[in-house]
Amino acid sequence: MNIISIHSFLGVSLILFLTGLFTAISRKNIIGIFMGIELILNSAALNFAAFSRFSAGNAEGQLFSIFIIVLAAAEAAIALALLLAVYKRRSDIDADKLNKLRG
Amino acid sequence: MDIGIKEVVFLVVIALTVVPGFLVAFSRNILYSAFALFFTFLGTAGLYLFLDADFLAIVQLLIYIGGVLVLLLFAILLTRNIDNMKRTNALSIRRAALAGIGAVLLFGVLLAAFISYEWVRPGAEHASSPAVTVNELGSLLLSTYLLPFEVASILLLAVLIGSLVIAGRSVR
Amino acid sequence: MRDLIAGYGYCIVLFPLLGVFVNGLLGRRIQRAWGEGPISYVGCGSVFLSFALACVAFFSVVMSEDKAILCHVYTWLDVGYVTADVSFLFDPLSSVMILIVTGVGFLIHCYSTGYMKGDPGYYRFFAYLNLFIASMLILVLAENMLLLFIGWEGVGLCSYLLIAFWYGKKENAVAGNKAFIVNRVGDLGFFIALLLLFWLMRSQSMTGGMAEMTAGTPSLLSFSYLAEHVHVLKGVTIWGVSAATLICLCLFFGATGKSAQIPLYVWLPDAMAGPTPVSALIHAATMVTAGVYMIGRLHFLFSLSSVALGVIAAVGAGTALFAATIACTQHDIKRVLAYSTISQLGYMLLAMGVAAYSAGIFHLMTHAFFKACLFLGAGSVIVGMHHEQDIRRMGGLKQSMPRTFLTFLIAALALSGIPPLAGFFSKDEILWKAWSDGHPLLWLMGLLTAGLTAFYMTRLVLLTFYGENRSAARPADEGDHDHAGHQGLAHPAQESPHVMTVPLILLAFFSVMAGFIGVPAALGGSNRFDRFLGAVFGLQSGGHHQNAMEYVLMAASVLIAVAGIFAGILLYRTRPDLPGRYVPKIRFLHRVVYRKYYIDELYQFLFVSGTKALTMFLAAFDKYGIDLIVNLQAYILRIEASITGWFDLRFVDGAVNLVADGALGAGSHLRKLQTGRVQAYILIAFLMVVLAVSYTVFR
Repeated sequence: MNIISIHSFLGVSLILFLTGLFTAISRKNIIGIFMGIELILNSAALNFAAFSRFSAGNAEGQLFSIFIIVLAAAEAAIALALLLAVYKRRSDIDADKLNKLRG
Repeated sequence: MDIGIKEVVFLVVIALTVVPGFLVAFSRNILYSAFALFFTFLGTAGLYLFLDADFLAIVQLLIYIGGVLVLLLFAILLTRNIDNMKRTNALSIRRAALAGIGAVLLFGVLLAAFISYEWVRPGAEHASSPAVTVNELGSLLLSTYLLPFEVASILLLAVLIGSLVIAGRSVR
Repeated sequence: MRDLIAGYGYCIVLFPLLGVFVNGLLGRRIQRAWGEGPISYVGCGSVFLSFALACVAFFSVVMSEDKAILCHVYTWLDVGYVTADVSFLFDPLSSVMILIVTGVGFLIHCYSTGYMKGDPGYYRFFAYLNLFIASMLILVLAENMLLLFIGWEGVGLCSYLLIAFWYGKKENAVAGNKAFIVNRVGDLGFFIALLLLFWLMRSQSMTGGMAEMTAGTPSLLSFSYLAEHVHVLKGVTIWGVSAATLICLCLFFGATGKSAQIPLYVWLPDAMAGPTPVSALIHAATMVTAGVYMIGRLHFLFSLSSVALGVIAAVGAGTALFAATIACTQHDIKRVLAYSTISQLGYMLLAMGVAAYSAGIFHLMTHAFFKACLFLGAGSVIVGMHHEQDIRRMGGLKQSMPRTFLTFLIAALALSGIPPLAGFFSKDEILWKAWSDGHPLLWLMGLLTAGLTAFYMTRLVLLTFYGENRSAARPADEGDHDHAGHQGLAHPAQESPHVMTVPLILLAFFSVMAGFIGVPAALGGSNRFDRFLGAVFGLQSGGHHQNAMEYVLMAASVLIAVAGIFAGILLYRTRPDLPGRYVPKIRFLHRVVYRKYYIDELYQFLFVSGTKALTMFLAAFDKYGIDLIVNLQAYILRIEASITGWFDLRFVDGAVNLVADGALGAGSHLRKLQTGRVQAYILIAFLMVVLAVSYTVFR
């Protein structure tokens, strides 16, 4: 069977997704968490593009990927702005320390 | 299995995508993670090329690497603790363990589910789909997906203003 | 005239009742506003009106054919098979009684206006006195036993009210209580007899197949019914005892209470604490005779039981002798007369006991006259001696109070049975009937009593009126012989006013004349009294052929009376030193008799102390027994309550607290989930997703 099939792209996307999730969960640095989130988004976009090519045959999947990228960029801007605000307040970006909402 | 040059390159690109991903996950230094991320993005752009999504690949390079990653590097720069340069990106062991177990499990399950499923009906596979060009993307954007397009632009405006507000407050 | 009585006969009772209302309710105001005059007129006038009507009734009865006039007032009870009416029966017996009651009563009312003059309770006295007259009239006029019982109780009440008239002094109140309580004991017997009679008459009339049951139930306790049907009780026994005997004994028990016989006589001497007119009216002439009257009224019942009659006669004779002995030693003038009354009542009951019913009533009448006269005379003496009652401190009143003296003497002689005064005829008839009916022992007792009677009356007269005035003398120690003192006059005694002496004169007159209506055949008379009452009792003239014996007995009684008088004169006039010499020799005996044979003390010990002890015991039982139980129960309840409380506290509250603590604990544990770290949340969500996907895929 052909290697360049949807299965490989789905596999890659899965690996990327799980890696990103792992990173998001286990990192202490906020930026590290953010990197994990970017990985997740990336994997999703890849997924959409793969299906667009192999299943649907039109451009809608790709368009969606474009949107994902756009939104990821916007989100990155906000997240890093927030990060700077937090850093200015606390001079520390340990995510474990951000537990003011604990019960 | 057909192993032509195309396939080999494909595999290399996959490796280029996946392995830095692990580096992002496990590296102790955050700069190392950032650079690994760069390579992941690069690899993803390559994969997009294999999917005949040329515009998407370029957009990935431009925005993800040129925008998000640069932003990320700026943030790292601005929030650097000079003291401990070495270990800036620690892992929470407990969470890591649990997440790892979960990830492996889920990987196994989903992979099994993926592989065995016929995503593409045999007869409907397009050997070569009509190339998706920028034209087509553009016309889709301005016809069927006009609303999301406009909303996204408003969102970008909001983000612009918002980030200025959030991050700029401390400027006195 | 008959119709007048049949229609308005009840007015005899009504007039005194009106007097009661006026004097009782308005008397205080009247007395304060206008003095004693109006009260006297109302009080005496009402009795006088009754007397007038009684005379009319008497003549109506005399002139009527059947010698019984019924005045029906209203139907009182008509409940199931109990019927009784308020009706008054005028027959020879009751008409004699009402004449005595209203006549003597009227005289005593007039006397009282003088005796009670100045007393602040004047109106109250006359109200009570009128009430008494009314009750006594109800008693004697009653047509059935229930109404009689009402009168019976009424006179008992009035006796109490009048004895304790001067209730300020404790001993008067005590005497009143004693009279009432002893009376009530007797009334219990009367009531039991009433119930027995009613019950048996009813059961017998039902089973005896009496054909003459009229429509509507007959009034079982009316005398007419009883007279006809009481023979059904012949042979009926209750618990082995003849029913008639039982009933008669119970009735007699009641009579001993009213008529002061053994064993219930103890109240009469103490009753002398009341004003003297009360003693005269109630305790001489009328109330005490109620027992005798009752036996006479129910003679047909008593005839059924010879046992009861025997008991009555024996008790009567015994009491007569007994009381006469005590009278010889007393030195309160009223007490001597009181014991004399008890003694004479014994005579009357002796007569009833030997079935000489009209003889008994005859003596009742004559006794009423002379005893009332004696009491009123004593009252006159007491007032004249400024309320001195001890005869050892009297004397010499013959000159200072001549009218009193003369009437007293006449009455005393009549009482002693000296012919041709009234007492002789009546007493003699009783003694004759006792002998001729076959009771020589009883006759002997009666004879001895007559002797003693003469003796103590002579003693009384001599000590009171003769000799020198001893009012300043020191009284000798108790139980001592009487001796004449030597000191002179302290207060000169004065004769009483006319309003008091006129009744005395009238009563003395009747003491002389009354006997002549009962002259027996043996002495040439026709004994109209006996014949008059024959309509009620059935003529009782038997044994005419024993005339010789009758003369002998007559002579015997006269002789012993004269002997008694002589003995009295000897001991108290001629040789007054003799008592002083001989009495110390029989000191013990004298003391026992003087102390009334210690009967009062015996009763006190037996009954009064016993009752008091019972009371204390019951009070203690209540306090320690019953209260103990109640308190114990309360205590147990408290314990139970505390157990329940502990249970509630520990278990119920414990359960509630457990829930609360559980919630708190769970909460404090669960809130550790909220670490505030987003990554942890994500992790958990991720793991859940893994689970969910695994589940979905592998299902």
